[in-house]
Amino acid sequence: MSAEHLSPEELQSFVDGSSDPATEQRLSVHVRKCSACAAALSNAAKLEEQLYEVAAARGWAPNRARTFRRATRVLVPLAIAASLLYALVLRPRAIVVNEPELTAAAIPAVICPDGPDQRQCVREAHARGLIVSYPATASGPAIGAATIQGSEWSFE
Amino acid sequence: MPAPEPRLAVVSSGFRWDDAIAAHGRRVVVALLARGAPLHQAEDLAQEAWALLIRKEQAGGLKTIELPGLAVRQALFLLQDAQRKSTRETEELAAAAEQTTGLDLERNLLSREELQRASRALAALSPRAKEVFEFVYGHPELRHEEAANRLSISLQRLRQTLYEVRQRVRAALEEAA
Repeated sequence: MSAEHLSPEELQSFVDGSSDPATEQRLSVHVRKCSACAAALSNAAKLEEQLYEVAAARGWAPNRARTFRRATRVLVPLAIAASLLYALVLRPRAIVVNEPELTAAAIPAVICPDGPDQRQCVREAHARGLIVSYPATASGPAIGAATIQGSEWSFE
Repeated sequence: MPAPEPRLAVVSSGFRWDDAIAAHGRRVVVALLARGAPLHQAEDLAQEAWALLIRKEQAGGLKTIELPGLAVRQALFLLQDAQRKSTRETEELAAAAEQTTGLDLERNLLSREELQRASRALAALSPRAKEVFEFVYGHPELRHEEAANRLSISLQRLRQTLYEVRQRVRAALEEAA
């Protein structure tokens, strides 16, 4: 156990995710070694979740979703309607139904290689908000890779 | 010879998972920590939860993605599953039978009485403090910097206000205990 414990402000910044990556890393390493700080972090996390419950109970909709509906649910009927309108009104000799064209987006996921540095790789990837996959579970060409140079991890 | 293309995942639907994880990743970890998961497990399970959701969404298995609720529920399910497995592995089956039947990680963390006490504590806040609390906890996707900007207060003022709110609620809950 560490002799010097994390301050309430440091613990709260970890819960908020408001620390810079280097501080985040330091706090994370410390919490893993210090059972007292781990317990304090758990308490801070619990209070945070309780506050969300209170806010929800008061009708402030803290868990209001950022909702994403698959584009097809909206766009396909619209495309069909537009196509029908075009076909029946503007060009009655043909009916064409086009699927909506969907855009692609990249996910910043990386493979952390097996070995003694894997845990460190995962922590650094987490600190940057990246999805981590492991060599044993990675499949297909969809995942980026992490490489280490000295003690610094870089992510494709 | 040209450098190889980065091998990054592609989502066919256009949903920006990276944005979603940046906005809600910590909340998922915190939800797991609040239920007693140690940090390393919370981070691993949160990653696993996001990966599962991404795969499901890519396979067309998610018609609606509501966040952070969906990710939190997925992560809590994984935690519950891990705890059940762990219990089995320790072969304390007799004791486990009782524990697992009562295991419900999605239950509220506050009892009705605690909720009332916390609500009373919040009701005693200044209107401005209430506004800050309501806004921040009503918009979990916003970072504090953005919340402060929208509320036209400094970041330091926002954090100080939240600190005071937490102190009051904590005190009210400790009284209840």
